[in-house]
Amino acid sequence: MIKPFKVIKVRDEVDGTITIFYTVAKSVVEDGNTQSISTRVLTSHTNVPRTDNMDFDMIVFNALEGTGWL
Amino acid sequence: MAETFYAGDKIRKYYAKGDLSDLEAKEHYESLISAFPWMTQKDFVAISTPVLHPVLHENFVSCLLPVGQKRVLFDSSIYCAARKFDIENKKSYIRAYKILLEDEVPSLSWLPSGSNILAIGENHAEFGRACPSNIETFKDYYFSGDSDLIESHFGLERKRGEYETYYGATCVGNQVFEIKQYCYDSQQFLSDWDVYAMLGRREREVGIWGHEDLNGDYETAIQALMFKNNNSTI
Repeated sequence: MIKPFKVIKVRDEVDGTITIFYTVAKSVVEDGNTQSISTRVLTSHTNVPRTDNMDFDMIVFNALEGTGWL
Repeated sequence: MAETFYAGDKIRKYYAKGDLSDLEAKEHYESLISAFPWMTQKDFVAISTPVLHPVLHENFVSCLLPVGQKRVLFDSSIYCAARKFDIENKKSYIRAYKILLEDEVPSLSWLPSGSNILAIGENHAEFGRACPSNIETFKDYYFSGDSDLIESHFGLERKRGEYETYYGATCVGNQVFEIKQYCYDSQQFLSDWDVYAMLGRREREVGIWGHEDLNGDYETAIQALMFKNNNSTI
């Protein structure tokens, strides 16, 4: 299963939540010109309540979907 | 048009971004984007017309990923990658085109003598995306060779590009399901598989850009391209 993002670190917070740090990259064709391609990289995090059996990849996927990064 | 492939009665055309007017690009991408709203025109450098897959039995549109996205998803063994879309069922997967090292080239009983395996197409599901069943059951082998011999070996109609012709075989195990004839009428960004294979293999062997032997191979590859260009009938 391939994906353009990677979970870097997961941190337990004192308030019972967890913070997931991740990086994601995307390459796009600029202005319809195949000679002009740029790759952007984002490092960010998302904070969610702690639950059992958390799927960190799915949490990151859901956080990124609809943002243009996936 | 970047490429035309023939597989029996089936024809698929591949268009680079620059081949399409704004209106044509919109038409080609519109049905895809309506079925896959997470996709944009900027995600790809080329798009194909739909064609029936011989193993999956659904129509698929292929979209070539920018080289940068290939690097995001794969290591250096993958030379390029395309996303395959089943619009009807809203499913997709990634085809990765792997250039093989000399000791990785498989011995294939169905391959005509004198043919050269240039790449293998391997299929991958993407995290979070609906994927067709059975994509792991087949592979595509891409090869070059004597066109007369290959057409005769597989009982193919004569189909030739004015500039270059290559071949693909979709296989389940050792059984060939379909032979595809890829035709290029002029030299452009998809038309020189033999050169891409030479460079891709050397890149894998050396591992990093700038190695003195690698530079030598680039010169050889560029000379090969110039030779092909000068001897083209175009």
